[in-house]
Amino acid sequence: MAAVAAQKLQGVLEMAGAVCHELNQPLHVVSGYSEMLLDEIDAGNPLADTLRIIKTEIDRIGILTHRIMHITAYKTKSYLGGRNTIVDIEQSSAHDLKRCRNVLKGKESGRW
Amino acid sequence: MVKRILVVEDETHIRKMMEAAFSRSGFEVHCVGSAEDALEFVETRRYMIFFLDLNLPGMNGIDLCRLIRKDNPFTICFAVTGFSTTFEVFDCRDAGFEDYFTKPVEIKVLIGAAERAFEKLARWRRDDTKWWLNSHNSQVV
Repeated sequence: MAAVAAQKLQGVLEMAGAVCHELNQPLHVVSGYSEMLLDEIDAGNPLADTLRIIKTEIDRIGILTHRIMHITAYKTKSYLGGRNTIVDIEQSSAHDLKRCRNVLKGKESGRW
Repeated sequence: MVKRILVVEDETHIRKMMEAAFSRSGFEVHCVGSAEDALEFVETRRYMIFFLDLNLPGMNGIDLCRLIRKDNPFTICFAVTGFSTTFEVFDCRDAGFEDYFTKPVEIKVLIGAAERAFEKLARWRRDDTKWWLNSHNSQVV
């Protein structure tokens, strides 16, 4: 049983690595450009609010990939009333939400 | 002192974004797509601050950092990577990286790191190190 759990965790870790590596590249580009646009756009511009929402949602995905990157356990949760089981990223990750936010903002180091 | 930065990144869109970000903040920035191209660049121009992607085609960012710092230990290198493992972080510290950022990272964080690095270089540029900085790479601009 423990061997099966270890295998499942290994699979999750490998998939997490691939997903994070592939997702974080375009995310970095979109995050960077939206940050620059936000710096340049006039606060009164009606597009400023839309841009802020875009940046907030990009940050949200960034937090998610940081959490996926720090998965250390294989924990699942039921989805759609128990019809499916999915990996519980929150419970499986060693990083809490506050720390992830700090890492993205540069207030805390990603690893050291 | 010219605030010149070399960014080594194999993804075209990231290179363009980083170039725009550093340029608008007043840095002179050059971007290349591989470690091999970076080594050619440092032959002809003096760079003191580097932002290196780790997963590069050919030579990786960790080995590139080692080579750059072996030649000039005063240089300051930052790792910017899409995915990190604990072992990779140990290797980065061992190679001499100043700090380590995992993408996506906010532009203002990278700009702040560059600003602090240039301040550090200015502090190091004392009389007893000036001779080394001046004699080193005397052929490059």
